[in-house]
Amino acid sequence: MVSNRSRAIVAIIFLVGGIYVAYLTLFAPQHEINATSASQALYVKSQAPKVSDQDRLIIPKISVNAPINPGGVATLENGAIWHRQPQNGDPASGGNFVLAGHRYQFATTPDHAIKNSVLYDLDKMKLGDRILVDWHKNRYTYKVTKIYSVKPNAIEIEERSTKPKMTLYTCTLAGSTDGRIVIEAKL
Amino acid sequence: MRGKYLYKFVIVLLFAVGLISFSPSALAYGDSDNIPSSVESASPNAGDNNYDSIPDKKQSDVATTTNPNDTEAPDSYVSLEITSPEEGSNWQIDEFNPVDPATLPSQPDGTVFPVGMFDVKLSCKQSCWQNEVSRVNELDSVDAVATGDTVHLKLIFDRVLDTSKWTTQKYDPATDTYYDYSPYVTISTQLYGSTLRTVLEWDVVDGGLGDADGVVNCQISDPIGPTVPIATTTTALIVPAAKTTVSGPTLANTGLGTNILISIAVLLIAAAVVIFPKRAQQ
Repeated sequence: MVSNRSRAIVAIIFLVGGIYVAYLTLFAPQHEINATSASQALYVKSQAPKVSDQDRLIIPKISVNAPINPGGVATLENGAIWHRQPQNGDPASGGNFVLAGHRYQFATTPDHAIKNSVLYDLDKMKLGDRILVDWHKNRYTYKVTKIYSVKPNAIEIEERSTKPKMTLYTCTLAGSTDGRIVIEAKL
Repeated sequence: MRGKYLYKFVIVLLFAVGLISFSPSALAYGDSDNIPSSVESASPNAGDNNYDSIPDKKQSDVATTTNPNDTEAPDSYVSLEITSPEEGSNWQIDEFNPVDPATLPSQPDGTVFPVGMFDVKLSCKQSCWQNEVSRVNELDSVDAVATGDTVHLKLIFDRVLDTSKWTTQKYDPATDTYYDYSPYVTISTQLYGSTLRTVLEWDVVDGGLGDADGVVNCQISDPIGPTVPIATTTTALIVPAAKTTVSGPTLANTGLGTNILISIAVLLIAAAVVIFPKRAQQ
């Protein structure tokens, strides 16, 4: 017979566990939102005041400052951004500069949750918001021109374009089999 | 007594739910190759089609899928295996998709693909990429040819095929052209378990020989497939006009779904509420 005390302990463990999982899922991955241009300028001034030696994606509105890696899906670890289809474009040579990052990755601590879920707040971007890219020791400024959703097999969004643009996408919160949120931005 | 059974039932239920759904993506795909675990598990030898005693669904350097473009046996299985990367086990399979050549913009003149083509995409982990970058920088500084890792690949069919007239073609998507890769491909018959099978083996070099993107970038893109001349084909080897693949290419997998985790959280909290008040009041 299990004692009341044991049941109470298990119940408390369940309760704390449930609250912690909910917190890690719903609240911990949220980045600070800089809604005004002044707060965005402050973010850039404090977090990315000068051009980085490393290729980086900086989105002041949703407090993102992440390295861009050319490798495969494995390089998305630790909140990095994946430069997909490098042959299709980049800021220096034009074409379609395709970037992808994690929307949500489970982590056991709040710090890891916010770091791994680098594009958790991408849905809060609006037309006209700025995106900065440090690329090969030069800084490029993009302005969001289009926001839309696609199915996971919409690989045409990664095709090379005649005019230079950035295509940035991440999963929906329903996961990778559900779809992708896509943002297009122009220099 | 009723409470006791309820208590046990809730615990068992929660463990079951947690085990089944805690990582739905990992369970659905198991490894990095974007092929559902259910497909890899259904392959010969109880899901270990390359007979290395590890289920293919758990290996990021082995991918097994069905090949609907196999004109003799559309339900046959084919495996891709990375066997000897230079940098240990850092290379993994991101995609391994059978491709119907009829869906490509053009086809090579005078030939058909008896088993279709295969779209292979590989990548290495960040540490491997950093090694590549430093090595390439070193080579550049002494004017040597800068290329990345060499990866050895095996394409394992599930039976012996007539390869006497095969030539292996590579497809260059940038120029929409095919070129003969046969000099770099070894075709053999090998024993897997008690079954003889046809095996193709070849090397690709990141940014070099066989890498369609031509850039040292820790990614290898390798569209490849064997062809035979049309004149020598039998009816069984003619590619049908319209076919569909089992799993097509997709955008990058960029995250887990949160619904299942929220469900787990709600279940845990509900279980705590169910267990705690009634027992504590007694």
